[in-house]
Amino acid sequence: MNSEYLLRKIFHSAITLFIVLIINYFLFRIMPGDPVSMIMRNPNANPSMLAQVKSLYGFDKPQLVQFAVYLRELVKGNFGMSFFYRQPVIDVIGSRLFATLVLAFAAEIVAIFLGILLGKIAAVRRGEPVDAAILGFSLVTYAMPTFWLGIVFIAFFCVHLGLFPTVGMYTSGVTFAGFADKAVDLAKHLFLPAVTLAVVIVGGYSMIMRSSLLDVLSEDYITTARAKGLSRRDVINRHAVPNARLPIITIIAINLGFMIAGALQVETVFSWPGIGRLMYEALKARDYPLLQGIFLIVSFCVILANFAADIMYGYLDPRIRY
Amino acid sequence: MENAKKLALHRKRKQFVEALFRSKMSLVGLAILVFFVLLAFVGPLLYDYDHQEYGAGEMLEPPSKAFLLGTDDLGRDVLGELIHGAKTSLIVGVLATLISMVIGTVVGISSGYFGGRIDAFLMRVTDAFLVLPWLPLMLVLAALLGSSLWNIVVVIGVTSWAGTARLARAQTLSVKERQFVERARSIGAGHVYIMRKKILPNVFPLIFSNTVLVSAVAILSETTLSFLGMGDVLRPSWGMMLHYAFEAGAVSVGAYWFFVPPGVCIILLVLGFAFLGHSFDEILNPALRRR
Amino acid sequence: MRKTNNPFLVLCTLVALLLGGALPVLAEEAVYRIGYPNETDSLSPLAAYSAYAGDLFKLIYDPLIGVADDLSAVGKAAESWKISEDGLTWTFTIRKGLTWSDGKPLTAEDVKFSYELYLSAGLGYSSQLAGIKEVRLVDADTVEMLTEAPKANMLQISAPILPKHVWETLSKEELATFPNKAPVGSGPFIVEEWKEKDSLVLRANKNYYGGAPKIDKLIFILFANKDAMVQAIKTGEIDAALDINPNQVETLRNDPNIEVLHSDERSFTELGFNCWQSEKSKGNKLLLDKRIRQAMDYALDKKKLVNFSKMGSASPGTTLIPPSQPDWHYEVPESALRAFSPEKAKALLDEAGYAVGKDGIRQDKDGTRLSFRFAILSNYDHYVKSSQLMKKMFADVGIEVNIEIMDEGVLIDLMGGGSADFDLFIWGWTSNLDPSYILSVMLTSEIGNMSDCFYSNPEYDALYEKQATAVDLAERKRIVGQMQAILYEDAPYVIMYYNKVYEAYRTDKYTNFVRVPAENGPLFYFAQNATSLVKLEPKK
Repeated sequence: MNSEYLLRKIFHSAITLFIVLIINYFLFRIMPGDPVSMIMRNPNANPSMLAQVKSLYGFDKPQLVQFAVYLRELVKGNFGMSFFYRQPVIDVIGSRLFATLVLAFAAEIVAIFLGILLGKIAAVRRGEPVDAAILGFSLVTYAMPTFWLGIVFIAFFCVHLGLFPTVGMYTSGVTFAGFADKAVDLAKHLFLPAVTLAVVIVGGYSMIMRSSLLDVLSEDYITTARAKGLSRRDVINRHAVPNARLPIITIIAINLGFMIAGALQVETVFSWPGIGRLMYEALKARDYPLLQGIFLIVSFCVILANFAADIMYGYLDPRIRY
Repeated sequence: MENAKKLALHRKRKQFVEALFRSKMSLVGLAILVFFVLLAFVGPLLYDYDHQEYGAGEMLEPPSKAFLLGTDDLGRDVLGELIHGAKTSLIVGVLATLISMVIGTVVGISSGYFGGRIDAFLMRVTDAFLVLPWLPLMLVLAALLGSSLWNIVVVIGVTSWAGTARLARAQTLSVKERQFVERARSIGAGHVYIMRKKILPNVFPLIFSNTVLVSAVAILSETTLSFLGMGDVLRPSWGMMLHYAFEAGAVSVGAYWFFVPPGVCIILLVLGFAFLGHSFDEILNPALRRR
Repeated sequence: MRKTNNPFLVLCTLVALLLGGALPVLAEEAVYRIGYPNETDSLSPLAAYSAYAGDLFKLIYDPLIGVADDLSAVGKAAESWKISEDGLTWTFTIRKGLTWSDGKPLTAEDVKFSYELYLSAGLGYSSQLAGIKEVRLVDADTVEMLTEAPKANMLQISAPILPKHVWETLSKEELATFPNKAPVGSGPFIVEEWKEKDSLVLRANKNYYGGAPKIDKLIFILFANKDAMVQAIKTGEIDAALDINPNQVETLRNDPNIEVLHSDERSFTELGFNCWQSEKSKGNKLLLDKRIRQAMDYALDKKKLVNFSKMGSASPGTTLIPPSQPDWHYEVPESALRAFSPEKAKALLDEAGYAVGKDGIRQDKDGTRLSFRFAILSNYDHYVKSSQLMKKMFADVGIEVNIEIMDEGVLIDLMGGGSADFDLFIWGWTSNLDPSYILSVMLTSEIGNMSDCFYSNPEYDALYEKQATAVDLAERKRIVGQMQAILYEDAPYVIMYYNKVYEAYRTDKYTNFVRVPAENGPLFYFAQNATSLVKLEPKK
């Protein structure tokens, strides 16, 4: 991997980020309603308060000046002031990232293992009924609206069977005796949301694993390995699978946006206190600065993940030299 | 020698099974789509139902002879709502995909064809659309434009073209160096002419199979937008049904007839598109199965 | 593949562990969990503006004068009060021995500081304090308030008293955004932690002068949707659920451990008309004819709206102040009441000269059709449902409305911008216990501010001034009634319904549930005071 390639990638990512910034800024500037009009129908609203809120957001300046100020403040780490809370956006977002990371990470792990497993079985049993069944399963999960799956899970596992809690990340108001208790409580709350999220992404992973494994299996070195007398099982596990896993890395990065969409729905249905739920609530309250901040952070993460995937891909695949 | 023959035969048989399998899948996909098109456009003619007439039955009445799939939270016939709502999903699926396809193709082909700065710029914009969180972006745009059916079509269309653009660009790059393009250029054909007559026909099959898959995503998007309260509230649609079911507490009440049928319909319809798209993909672009 | 199999096994083991695993250890504390659909926007009485904030402040701060269980005025931080002969000077004696949650004493000094802070900052509760000229410290336990004119709602001021030692350090610029994340208060509860869009944890103030709460902890959990909330109360994850869906009441009532209450809200939903008489108005001029507005009232089957749009959780509306405020609600006499009658609507329109045209829609003499734009906010399901029913009801009497679904911000922008570019709309208000605020919405001076129907009537404006200085309760009631009668006759609003709310609570772990007021008041949702939460106790 040479530095020229790296620099070019960094440069591209930076430009993409800047375009995201522009879209992000102006999109939210043309939205109807502003913080002043939004608080007008509340019992404590009065002209003096409205005027103070207005000056708080600096809407009186020309657009480009406002944009420049926005950029300057961003560099300083100021993502703006929430319409609804009148608190710095970053404070509101910060406390929510962890919950989403836990959820996404758990779902990702489940999805990757299951995806690789199913993909492998399908590739090995190519054309057999098992293959068709796995493909069918993958497509059905792909076709399922995430929120609907969550609802059905709640209806069955929580309401009907009473196995899992339906709300939040921990049982609220409980002082846990120790770390183990807390972990068990978290796991109970995490299980259904993580499984829901995993189910909707696992289909993609298994299909990619299947097709890339099939690609790898048709390559020369596999034939060579077979010719050397290695068992079919060994060839697949030692030689084919490690290489076939590579595309999954890219797809995880690309899928991040998809994960966010899934998280928004899952967190909304399960009242999970993460970024996705915050996004939905912010949208309901038309808290544009908050949304803007989340958009920016999410986009930044996706850009970063794509960048990392590119680098990692080059690092892991011995055949690719930049 | 004996072994090699066996192997070849085995491979051929396998290919045959696969081909059969594939075509079976596309047949199923097609059958599903035909069914829903009939349901959406012929169904309403046969099954009389008024979306705005509340209280035809009791609220959340379980399935009965009078109401085969029960009633919803406003006492409306769930089956009627289901039949009359099919159109919304189909319209959104098809039209939004068209918009997405046109934008994606134009951006992708121009980008690949012109190269250089235009390419760099267009691709960065495409990247931006790929990294912006698309579902929240749709929700915000729907809030901005107002959530009528046509606005939703536009919103989904303008947010889902980036993947198509990437694909079109990649294919354009591989096509543009070929002889017939060179030839056209040497006789002084214009850029637009070349893109339209020489490149597009070669890029299109690839885009088309992708498009079928985009339709599936578009339908899911409409459903999700509606569920999250950004749907067209004046029209029956499966997404709105789920929205109202959830708002009315159908899950905790156990009114499964209200939230299961629309969900199943959505899955089937999306599956129809996915089956078709997947088999197109396999048949048309065996090299690009990875997508 | 052995490698990848292992984690899968681990996962299975984990699942088994989860299902068989022990429940989280409940601490000995009595924790009460309430699921609610909306939260406060700030913990600072100067930065908050939402009605939900006021609901919370009742728990963590004491005002000077509060609301008793029968809705009369009762001393909180003030032990007693008196008013001078001329009605211009109020003297409040502050209760002795009050302390802030940080242990410092609460004195008259804090009262003076707080009132002056609201007034000088022009934030938070300042509009309730309007008319107070000066706050004077008489001695350590006594403050005097001087007003410009007699102030009728002096005892209805709900402004929290703030600790001077915390707030005096803030500059004027900081006030509007000071988050007050760990409020030092004097109410029966103390904020322990607030996670926005998630939960609010309160601890009981065991030193509260008025009797400490029997529970140790109170947690409000915000739900993204009401169905999840109902599931949570069924599984016992929460002890009470506020504002639940009418559909779910029956299943909840089937649960022997769950009770459901139906109580009045202090809010209504209205059909509003653009009544702006200005040349600048882009509204349909036909709506300036009050006979059309009245006819549309006659055409409305409000019972049907209540049944379908609100699932019965409302009552048909008449005048501006809901009956849940019995002191102020004006009951329209039978003779003037516009009960549902399409015939009367048609007769009134015929009489006014709006004949039915060829297309079934009425027209004025110039042939202008009675066809109006009908702005509906997309974020309220019951507006959407009502609008579809209303479209049919209006069509029955020959009036056409075209529903335009829009975002709240869009309608606000249409109303602002100086051109009032709208015809009809559905919206609602939540009022204070004191009627000043909701009455002020209809003032001529509020056009361009809070007024959404651009109504103007000098007689009404004059009466508003009059009631504001009517310290005598009976006199004030009479004027407020008169004002509502005028509004009812002019019909700038047709009040569609007064909202009600369902609250569900579990009875297996807690007991002693008190409604305020006892007959029809809520338990927790927009309760007038903290009584229900203070009296609540765990079962032995």
